[in-house]
Amino acid sequence: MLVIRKLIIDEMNELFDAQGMKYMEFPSHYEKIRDYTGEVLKDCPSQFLEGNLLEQQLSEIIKNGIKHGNLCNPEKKLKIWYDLRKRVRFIVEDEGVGFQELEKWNIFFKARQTALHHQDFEKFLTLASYRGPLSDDNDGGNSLIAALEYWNGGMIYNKKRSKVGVVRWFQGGSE
Amino acid sequence: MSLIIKAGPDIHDYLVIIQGDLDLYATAEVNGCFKEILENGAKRIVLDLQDLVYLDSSGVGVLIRLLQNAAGLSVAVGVSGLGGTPKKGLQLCNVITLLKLFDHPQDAWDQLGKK
Repeated sequence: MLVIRKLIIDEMNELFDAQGMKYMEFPSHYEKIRDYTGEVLKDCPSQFLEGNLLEQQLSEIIKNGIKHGNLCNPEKKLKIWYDLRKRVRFIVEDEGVGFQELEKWNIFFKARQTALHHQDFEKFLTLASYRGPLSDDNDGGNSLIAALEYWNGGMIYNKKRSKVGVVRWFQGGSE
Repeated sequence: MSLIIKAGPDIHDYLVIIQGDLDLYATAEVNGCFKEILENGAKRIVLDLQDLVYLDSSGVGVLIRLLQNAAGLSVAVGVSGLGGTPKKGLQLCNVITLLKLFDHPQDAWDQLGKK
């Protein structure tokens, strides 16, 4: 049976409970996205890093907030709450209008994964990247696809769609 | 990121070696490289990713765009040396299913484009 995940809006989800989490905020400088990611993860236990996979996945969320949310306006802040004990959990909030294409993206993703399930690789190739009205040549169009797989404990948007909560669990947890 | 382009065994073959980080800051250069190679009449392209360390969604997007454009021009594309975190990233978004993977560039030249 084909099970297709989707992006979910749930304002009251426990993933938005920031109690006990650390906090950082950054101006929206596009050229510093990976620096910000490194700053948040500087004390992360090594067993959670999985090479640079965690860095890459967190960097995607930060990029989405800075580029698509705050439109790279340095006067707009990107807020990050994080907890790196036992599992990795983040809440990232921007000051933009929110991810208005969420439903459209879910429809795209369903068509994409259906093509993959049926091994229709010709169609899958055409659907490999999401292209929205705001996409440009530097947008890969696949960050949310990988994110739904990577954040195995959930990926939830708030009602305004400008805040996302994610968690990844690991076998055995932290030392 | 380091981008090296070499001639392949045949006149329309290109070996593209990408080393380091293929990330949001490197996509324009690599996109431009692929565009130029396709415009030059490439028939086979092998990407050597042995020393690719970091691959984000922008980098994956560059690979997808190459595959889409190459398919329209009947150009064969192979990937050699893929491993580590870049391979995991391509697995997460299922794009790895679109790639013809080889251990070494020579394996790709030996098999790519053959029926």
